[in-house]
Amino acid sequence: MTSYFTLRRSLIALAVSALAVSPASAQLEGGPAIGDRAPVVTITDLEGKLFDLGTLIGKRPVLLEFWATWCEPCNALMPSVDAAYARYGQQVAFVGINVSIGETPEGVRAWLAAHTPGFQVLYDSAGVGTRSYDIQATSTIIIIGSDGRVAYAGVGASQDISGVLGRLLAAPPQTRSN
Amino acid sequence: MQSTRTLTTIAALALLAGACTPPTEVQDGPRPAAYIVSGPDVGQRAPSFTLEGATKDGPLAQPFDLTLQRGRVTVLAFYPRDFTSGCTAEFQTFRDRGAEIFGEGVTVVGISVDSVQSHVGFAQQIGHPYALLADTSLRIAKLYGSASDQGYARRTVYVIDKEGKVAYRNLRFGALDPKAYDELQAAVARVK
Repeated sequence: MTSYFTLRRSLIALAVSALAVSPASAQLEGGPAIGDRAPVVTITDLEGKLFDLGTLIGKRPVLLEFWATWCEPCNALMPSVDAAYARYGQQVAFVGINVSIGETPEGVRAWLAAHTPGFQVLYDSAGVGTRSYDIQATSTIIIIGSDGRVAYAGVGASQDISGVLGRLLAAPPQTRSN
Repeated sequence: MQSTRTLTTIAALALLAGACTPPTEVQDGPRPAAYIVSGPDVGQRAPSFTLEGATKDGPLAQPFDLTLQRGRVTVLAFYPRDFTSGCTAEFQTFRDRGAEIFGEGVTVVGISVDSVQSHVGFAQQIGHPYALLADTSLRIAKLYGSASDQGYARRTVYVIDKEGKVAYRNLRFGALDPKAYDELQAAVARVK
């Protein structure tokens, strides 16, 4: 029985991962597996208000970027994220999750005032997002399909975000029973 | 019997070939729910070792010798690689909150597969106040159940008490998780 479920899970993951083919640049340590249901958690924003990811996950495609102001790969990745947001921001919910490690809300606000990403930014002061998604490095991008499952997980400065989103949006919806 | 041996050999070679596949950015399948570890558990004696290392001021004059730390609380922080964002987050936090997390009289060392020269550069870049040790063969990471199958250490933390026994271990230390640092701080405080 165990092997049946393992095989089934592997086949689902392989089908979903076909959406997410990208050249390797850095290895993802931790992170959710492709095909897993994305954790639906509530994370604080910079004002301390709670934001429920459940208002987005499972309803439309969602891109989560785990980042920090001091993170060089995040800064290098920014043009790719910005370009993807400009192109797909109407179809995909973009959410930046500042990891809060080595940060202050004031410092993040100052950074945002200078960079104006244009999309929702949260301040994960309790580590709820990083724990739930098992995030081990900043510059980690998680893309969740409209079915609420993880379609892509990558880390580093050289991620082709527009390419991944283009393939995700062009692919037919996956049919699953679980 | 011979054909069975041949088949077994072929199967073993195929498995090895799979294990040596270069890492990719995108995870393309489910991962194990848990790691099988063989490091010392809480209450067990911490395996002795010596390793070359460095601080931001340059290579250590003498190799770090764990047995010489007897009588002091020692924190071993295994981590994947110098200059990566997760490791930067971890050691910046140790730098910024070290007095609060560890306090006085605690030896803290980071351990990765990187060379002494790499450690000097990494420590200088982030102004890291503690020593970083060069476990280039992963020998010590394996002793502590902290070696990954990708050729570097997983992110783990051990707190060793003054008698040389493991007082606390976190085999999946979350570099970006504020609670992980709070838990480490509490563990250090318990054995000081």
